[in-house]
Amino acid sequence: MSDTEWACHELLLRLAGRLPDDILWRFRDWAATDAVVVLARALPRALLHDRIGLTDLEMNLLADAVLSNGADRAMLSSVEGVDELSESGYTFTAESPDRVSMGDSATAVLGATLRGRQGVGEVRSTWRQGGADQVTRRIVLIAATTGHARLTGEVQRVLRALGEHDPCVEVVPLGMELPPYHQAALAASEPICTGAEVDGHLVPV
Amino acid sequence: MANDVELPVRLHDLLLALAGRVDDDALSQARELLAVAEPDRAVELVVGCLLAGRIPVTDPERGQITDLLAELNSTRSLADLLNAVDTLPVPRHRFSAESDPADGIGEALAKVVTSLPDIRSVMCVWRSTPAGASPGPLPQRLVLVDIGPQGYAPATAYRIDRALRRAGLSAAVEVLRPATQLSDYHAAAVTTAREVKFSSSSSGGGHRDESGAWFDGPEDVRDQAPVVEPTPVPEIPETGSETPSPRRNRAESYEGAQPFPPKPVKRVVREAVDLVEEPPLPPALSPPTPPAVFNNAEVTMELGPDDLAALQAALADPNGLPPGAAVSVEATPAADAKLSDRERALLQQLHEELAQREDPPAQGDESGQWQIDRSGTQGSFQPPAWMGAQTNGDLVNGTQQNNGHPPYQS
Repeated sequence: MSDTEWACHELLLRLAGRLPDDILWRFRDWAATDAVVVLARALPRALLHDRIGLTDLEMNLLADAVLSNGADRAMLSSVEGVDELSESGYTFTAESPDRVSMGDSATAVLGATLRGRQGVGEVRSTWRQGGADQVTRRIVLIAATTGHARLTGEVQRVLRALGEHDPCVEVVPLGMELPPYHQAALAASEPICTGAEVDGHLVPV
Repeated sequence: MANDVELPVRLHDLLLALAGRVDDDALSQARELLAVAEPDRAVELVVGCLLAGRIPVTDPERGQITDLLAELNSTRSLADLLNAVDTLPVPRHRFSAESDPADGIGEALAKVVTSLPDIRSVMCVWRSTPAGASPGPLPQRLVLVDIGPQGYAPATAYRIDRALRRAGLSAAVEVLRPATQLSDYHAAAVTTAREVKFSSSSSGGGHRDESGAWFDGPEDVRDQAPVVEPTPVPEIPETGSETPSPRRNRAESYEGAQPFPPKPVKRVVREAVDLVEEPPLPPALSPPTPPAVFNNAEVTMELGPDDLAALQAALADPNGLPPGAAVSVEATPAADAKLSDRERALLQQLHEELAQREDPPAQGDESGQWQIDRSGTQGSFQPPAWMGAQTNGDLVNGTQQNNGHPPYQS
């Protein structure tokens, strides 16, 4: 994974819960494809449209992710900087509060797909409530050592086919310090399966 | 390069052309962006989906996208990355109207169709095949909205989509403008779709305008697309209860458009069906009425009100002619012979009809006229030969449909 791809994936990971889910999953779908050049234009525009501020670290990631793909520097300059992230307003639970119809099927399919897979460590899921739309969503947390953007896109497509229109798939590089959103999600998660990277735990042991 | 058609309309038509190739959620998002005056984001969303899914487009489509990007001050070179082909892959979409795709749609859209201009009809169908590189769950419900020249396609698509989401109904909304040629995808969907019936208070969609064509495509497309004949209906003289609406007057200027299957059905008949609150027929019985019954109805409709009253009285009288009929016949000898011939033929036919009925119709009102035709669709229905292709086969690729899908509930 190039520096650009890495920066793009990490930035989109850190924007979980801040960009609308329907936009975020689409951008993540594009990140591992030829559409990354469109992403370079659409991502800054989406940040400006929703008035989403970025930390210094995220601002650097944004520049690394999109400038080399033709993003407008003037547009990047308009993105507001923030010192620290505000509370997300989400709560996480290990079990679905209102039992999403495709929940069990999704867990079974993810387990069958990712169990023993190369480059994949621990796979967990949790349920998120709150936010602007007040919709309960499944959050899938995956520890991975390689191919993060591609794995994200693949799992997203599986979940969409199973009935989740806006899948929330967080593929976390091993060793990454998790943002507050992901820490909260991880704290309320339960395991689905483990890939071939048996030491790739999301939860430090 | 810009042309005479406004940019939102051109972009709407492009999204329509991409239906079945790009996933439905992307099209829905793009239409929303278009409707809320963010066409630049809409175009970029489309381009991103085409690139991410490596979805082929034709050269003219790529040219349209290039023009749109340029007009919206975006990077027109993005269109150069698209996979342009001479011939698009043959679509393999399957549509079905079983499991009532219109269930709940009328209630969800009753309000919005009255507030949007020039909606002529709303139809629903299930699509049991995926669309795009990131398809959603199946089956997918399609809501096909036919608008007239006074309608606003992007706004209509957006607001109907919103209304359905608020009602918890998952559907892809396709708004078909007049004077646009339907793609094979939409032609197949329209042919299979079931019309949404609205209550009499919602005057927007649901009632097909007599002069308005559901499909305004050219003749050659009609010849290529699969055809399903609607239930033939008799022409019933318009009653005073129906007042011409401004929409109807506007639509009359559109009569030159070529109707496409299903052929336009007389609105007065559909309203008559609505008035008697006819329960929806099972899918197996909903196909067209046998020609024999249609002929009966045609003969019946040649009668005037007096003739009909005499005929209904004759039906009530097992011996044939009612007493009043004789008086009327004596007054007009020339009509006597004519009416007698008619009555004899009709009595024979209608006695056959009555023998097939399980429940005798109410007599002496207009609904009785219609029930003559309805009775033919029940019980003794024998599908004509031309129905075989529609009832048994896939409309796109000729393979058997599996219609056992449950309706998708989000």
